[in-house]
Amino acid sequence: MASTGSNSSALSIDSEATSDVIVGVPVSSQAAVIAEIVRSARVALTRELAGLRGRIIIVDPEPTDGTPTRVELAVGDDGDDLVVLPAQGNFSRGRALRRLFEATLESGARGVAAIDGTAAITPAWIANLARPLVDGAFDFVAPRYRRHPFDGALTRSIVQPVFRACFGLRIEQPMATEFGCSRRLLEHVLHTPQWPADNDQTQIDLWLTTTAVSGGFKVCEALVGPRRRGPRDEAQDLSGTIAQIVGGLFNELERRAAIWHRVRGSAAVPTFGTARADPLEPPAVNPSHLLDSFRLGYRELSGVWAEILPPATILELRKLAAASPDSFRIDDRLWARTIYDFALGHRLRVIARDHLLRSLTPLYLGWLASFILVGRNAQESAIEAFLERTGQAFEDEKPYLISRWRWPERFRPVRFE
Amino acid sequence: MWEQTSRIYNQAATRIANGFADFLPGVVVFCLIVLVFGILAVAARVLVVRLLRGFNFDQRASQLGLAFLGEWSVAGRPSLALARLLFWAIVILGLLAGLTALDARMPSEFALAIFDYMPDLLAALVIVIVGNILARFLARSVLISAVNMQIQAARLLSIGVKWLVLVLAGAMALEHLRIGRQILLLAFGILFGGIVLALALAVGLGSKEMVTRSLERQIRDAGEDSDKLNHV
Repeated sequence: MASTGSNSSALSIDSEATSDVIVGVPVSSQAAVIAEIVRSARVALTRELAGLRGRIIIVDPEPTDGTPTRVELAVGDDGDDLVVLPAQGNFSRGRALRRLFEATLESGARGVAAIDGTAAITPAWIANLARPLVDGAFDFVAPRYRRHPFDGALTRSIVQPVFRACFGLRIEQPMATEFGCSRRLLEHVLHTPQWPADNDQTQIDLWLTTTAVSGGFKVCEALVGPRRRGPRDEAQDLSGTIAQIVGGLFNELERRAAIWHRVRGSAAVPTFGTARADPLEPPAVNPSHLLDSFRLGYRELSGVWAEILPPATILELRKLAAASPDSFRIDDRLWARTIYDFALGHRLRVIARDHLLRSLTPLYLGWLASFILVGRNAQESAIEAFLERTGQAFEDEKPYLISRWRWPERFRPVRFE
Repeated sequence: MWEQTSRIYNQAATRIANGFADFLPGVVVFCLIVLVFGILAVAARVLVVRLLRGFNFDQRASQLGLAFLGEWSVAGRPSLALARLLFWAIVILGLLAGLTALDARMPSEFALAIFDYMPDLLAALVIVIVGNILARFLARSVLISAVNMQIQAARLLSIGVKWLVLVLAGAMALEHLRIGRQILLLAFGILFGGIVLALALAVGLGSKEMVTRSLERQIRDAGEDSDKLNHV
């Protein structure tokens, strides 16, 4: 092993031993899975990316939690390609990524495939994320996970369509914790003054994607395998997750308003890798529970929503709350406008931001119920077509968002109790 | 006799004239003070209206739980109501300050007592306003959290928290105003003690099984959904 974080702050990347590609793991106290990740990374570097000089860099916040020992066990004696860097200061994902990016530039590598340190992955993941970078064609590689359309519904219903409409690229995972970054992009982001604050764990991932897209860097997607749920996915309740993910997205909209106001339409990005064709098992979810949550939400939170949404939207929601499960469908345009109204409410702080974001939970569950009711007996391709229509609705409704963003006083919802 | 009457009359006239001469400057000073405070009140009113309009206060008032201020104004605007409140507070202060210039014992003592009371009055006002904002914020927090936890009685919980904070703020304000301290303390002890005891008895005896079933159902439902669906 080249070095471990247990003994020094004098660790540095040996500049003479330059690399072609770095596999980076910003660990967030998950020593249990780190050994498996290192094994996969080594297989990827020796087999899938054979011929390239590769190195694994782990940014470790707590060298005392057993990570170096587990890494040593995983690597054995032959560990010259591994560096464990101690995280500097209080650990945050943003700070760890920054450390990783700096180390990548020091190593002279052409790019880094960053892997979330909380979920186990296969060697093919790393190879697919890294290959478009070392071939020199692309600057940012986003993962495209293999999973059922019902999975990742929050990303599919809000993050993905808003990103598509506002930034003009159809990326399946705009805020994925795994990605590839070219040297050119790393140099750009490290010199960008608006590096997200340490207290936001998810914002950094979306920020990187939007920085790449809005900076004119070449973006592609890599087909990777199914993503097992990491501890981070299960750490919070749903409303906390929504507040974090959607809050990060809305912050990004606020930060880059001048850019997305000029974007028209959207384009697909090139995709690399091979997808498995075997059908996926849909997750078992009872839509009647979701419908109950939506109805309870309408009954109790319509007063809160009335401070964010216009009366016409509240009226539509009232009709939906009274609808039977057979006829319960949230119209794509209504959904797009609702999310845009929440984005604007977030920007104008019409109510406390945390309240606004958490009050979105029943609406999201209503959308999910509608989505599952439409797609439960449909083919995967039909569900994908449904999601495509949703994305298109967000694009079609973008002028509504822009006009409200520019002249919010004309659209202020009428408050009623 | 005529001379005596004349002398007494002259003495009385002199006393009245002296008294009037002593009193007149006080009246002039009173008028001056009232005039200055009146000008100050008008200036403060104009300034406050402009400042509050600059902050978009009329629209933010409902978010801050101060919508009730709108009812105090004919135009229904909280900024005008606040400006009017400030105007009359300054005018009344001016009148009280003016009374001390008249050198009359009763009005002066009354004015000084009011001035002495003013910090408590202001503190009570701040407590009521902050309590109102806090009650509204907490009520909405509880409402949203309870709905997201699928609690059917979310509204009831929210209203309970709101009134708890409002009553507490009211009691603290009355304490500052030195009104009914002992009664207030006793009433609170009895009220909160009674509520806690009633809840404990209701949950512990009457609704034990219902609460158990409800908790079990919530844990089971949460487990069912979260285990099988990855939202992110």
